[in-house]
Amino acid sequence: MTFGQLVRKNVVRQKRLYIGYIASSSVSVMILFMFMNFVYNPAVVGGYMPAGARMVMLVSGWLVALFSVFFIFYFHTAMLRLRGQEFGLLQVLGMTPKQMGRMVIRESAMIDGVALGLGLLFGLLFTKLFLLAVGDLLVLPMEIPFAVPAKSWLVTCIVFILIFALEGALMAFRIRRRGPKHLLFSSRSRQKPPHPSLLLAGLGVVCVAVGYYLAIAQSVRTLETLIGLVVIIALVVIGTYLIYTQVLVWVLMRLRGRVRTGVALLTVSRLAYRMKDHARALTVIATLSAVVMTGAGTMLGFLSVLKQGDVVRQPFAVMTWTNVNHPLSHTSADLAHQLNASGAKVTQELDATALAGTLQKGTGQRGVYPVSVVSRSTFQRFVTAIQSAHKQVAYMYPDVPKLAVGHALYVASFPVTVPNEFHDTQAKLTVGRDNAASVVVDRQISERTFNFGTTAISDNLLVVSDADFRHLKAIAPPASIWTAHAFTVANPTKVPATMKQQFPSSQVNVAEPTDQSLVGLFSTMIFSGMFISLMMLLACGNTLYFRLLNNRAEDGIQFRALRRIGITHRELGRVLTVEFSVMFFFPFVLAAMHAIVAMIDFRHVLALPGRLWPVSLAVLLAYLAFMVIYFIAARITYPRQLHIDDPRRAR
Amino acid sequence: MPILTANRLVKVYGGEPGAQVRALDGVDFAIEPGEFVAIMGPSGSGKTTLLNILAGLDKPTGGQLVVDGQSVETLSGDALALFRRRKLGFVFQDFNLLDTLTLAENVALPLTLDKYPAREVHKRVEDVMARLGLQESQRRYPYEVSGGQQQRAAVARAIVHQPAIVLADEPTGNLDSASARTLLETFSSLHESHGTTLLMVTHDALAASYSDRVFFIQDGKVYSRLDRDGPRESFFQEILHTLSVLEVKCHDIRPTRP
Repeated sequence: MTFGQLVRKNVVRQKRLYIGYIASSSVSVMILFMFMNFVYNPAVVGGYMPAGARMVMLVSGWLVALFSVFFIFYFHTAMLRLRGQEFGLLQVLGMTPKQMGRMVIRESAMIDGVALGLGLLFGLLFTKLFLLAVGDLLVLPMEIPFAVPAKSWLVTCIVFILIFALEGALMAFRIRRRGPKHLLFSSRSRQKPPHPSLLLAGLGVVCVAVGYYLAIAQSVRTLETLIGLVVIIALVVIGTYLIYTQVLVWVLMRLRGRVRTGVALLTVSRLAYRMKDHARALTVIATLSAVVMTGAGTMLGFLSVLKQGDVVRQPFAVMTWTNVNHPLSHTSADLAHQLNASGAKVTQELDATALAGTLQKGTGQRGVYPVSVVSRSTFQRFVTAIQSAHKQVAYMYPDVPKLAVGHALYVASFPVTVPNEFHDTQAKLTVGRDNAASVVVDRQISERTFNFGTTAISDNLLVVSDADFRHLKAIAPPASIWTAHAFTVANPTKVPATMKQQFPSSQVNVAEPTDQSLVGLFSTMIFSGMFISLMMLLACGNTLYFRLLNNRAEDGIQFRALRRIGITHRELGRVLTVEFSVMFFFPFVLAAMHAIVAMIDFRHVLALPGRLWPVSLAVLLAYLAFMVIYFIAARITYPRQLHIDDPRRAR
Repeated sequence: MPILTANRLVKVYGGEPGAQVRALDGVDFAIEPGEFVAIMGPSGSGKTTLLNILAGLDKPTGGQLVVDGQSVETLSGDALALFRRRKLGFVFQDFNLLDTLTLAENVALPLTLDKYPAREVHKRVEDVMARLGLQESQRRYPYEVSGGQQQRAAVARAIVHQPAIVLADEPTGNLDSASARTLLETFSSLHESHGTTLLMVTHDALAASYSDRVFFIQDGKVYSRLDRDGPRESFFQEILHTLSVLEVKCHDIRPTRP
């Protein structure tokens, strides 16, 4: 047998070990290749594409490469650790460290070559489909032509060959430095009963709690600096690790004193023992899963908020403002006629009277707020109209309370980053020139009842009691009294495009849906994000796979011994079911918690109205579904690999 | 009535007629309750195969095996596991204790698997460990005690559920001579004062000399049998003598096992 044959046999006869690694690596190659095929597609480079799309794909590609570096190193290290005994034996038999290094390099060249080849092949196969999907998402007028430019071959190959070469060299270097004793006995020398420390367990819980607190309660303030973000992530990751190594072990050790049946005793003691070994992998999984779920959840959620936002920005299809100095060329009856004629079909027609004024809080320039004063009943009429026209956002428009004389509500109609300035605040209201009256502003609410975008009158409203409004209107100069007309329609898409041009832009607002190209761009981002998520999911699966492989030899011995004592398959199955559940679902629970906190944080930062949760929760469920499938597959195949009933493997 | 009866046990490995190996070629013997029997034989004689079949880990190709009135070859799968759990006790060469459990928990395992009430488990484990001189090490983990103590814990585990018969596979193989002696004396005392039925497979003449009767097997058959009717020392001499006859016959000098 030559050296080369040894290398080949090492790989081919341990395909079980390498298959997960190859799958993960080739998926990364495939994804990068597809992304690059898009980026360097002549039609994209030359073309009619939204400029951002290419950028999104390019950045995603670099993310894929960066992430591949990490997990390729991580998995290869794990694999070589699994083969520690083999390397130790080879060294005892007289293989020199230099030869070992060479062996590792040649082995990795072989596996990585296979991964690269497979990745390129699958990339090639799926490129057309990928281009079709992206074109569809970007709502392009025509298909992106299929092309596999030389540049994308080049970039993909260079990136991965660099990663693989670096990684192979590093692994070879590391294996050379280990002594045979370390390699041979590394799995045996580390046997100690688990001793969780209550102090560290407490610290772990505190870390996570503080991280959560910073994210939720101090959201915007913490995220102002990058340091805040890093601190939160570090706290949560450390906390997660301690939860595994300390909290969980502590709980298991306590349980152990209480369990009465043999199966429970076995399960609990095995878990407590192995948790320290699992901890690092499970922390990685929990973190990765949290990243995937947060990323997907926030992105998809943001998209849905963006779509919901149309209504919230412009609740009425058409809205006009007029006063004595600014008459309109068409009457409201005219407008209604036009709308009905075009097929938009008016469903509701409202009018309102508003007074232009200013609100002075305290003294000095900073406390001056221009406002449009409306009566409580008018405001409620608009709220009711929106509630009935847009059921899906009705929850954002609660009924307004009755107001006492001298009391008011401040309505910040652009909820994005408007600080909350009013709670039982004494203020001076001026309508017209200098008719100052004193009001108490009870509180501030954030919603938009009048369309955004008309500059004739202030965007922010002051809602006063009907009695106060009558009084204010009586003393207001005619130039500050405005009248609004608003329409809701059944078919917003049929509103004629010409409607807007009939009036000065400061006096009219016609609702337009969010820019389609923005949504398209965003969808592309989500689409490429999906591939990165897929990669991370695979990485999670792979990490678990390695944990299982790590335990397999030991479990084989233990289970065969138990089988001799007379344990049934069902009992062994119960042990495995519980153990796998902890391995697969405990990280999910932690990750889901992290992700939910991150999304609450995101919700604060986003500061846009709209519902994020339904979509985000759907992402969590999809993730859970993936874990369930993986759990079932592992649970079914694992016992078969143990050869429990094979008498020739007595020990 | 014998507690274990092997009747013309045959085990053939390999499917094709040319490549077949007859590991057991019609083994007959019986063990009465309270007996301490040793099985000796050179490597390749079929000892391990015989033990695997007696333990229900492997199925014989032919013949019958009856343990405590139950014919073992008719059982399979989990029924066989339950049979082993209740009727048999095992002592292995490499102890086979679970590292994740303390010695006491290891000993308790056969009982807890059978859902005995906690108090009874506790009492029995205390009893049997005290009998084997392991009171001090109950809460220790296997890797924290010596090989001799590990093997005594394994013996405790093998007898805690009062099995019909205890099967021991080279129990002294991994022990130093002092620990081996202590273990063998433990076997003798279990046998003498508690009437435990023991079957031990060994290649060590000293270990075999602690038994009442030795079966020698060779080429898958019971070649001869030796009954003890005097002091242990003379029995030891007789065993050595028989072994030397066997060695001359098959040119196998001092059989050893890995």
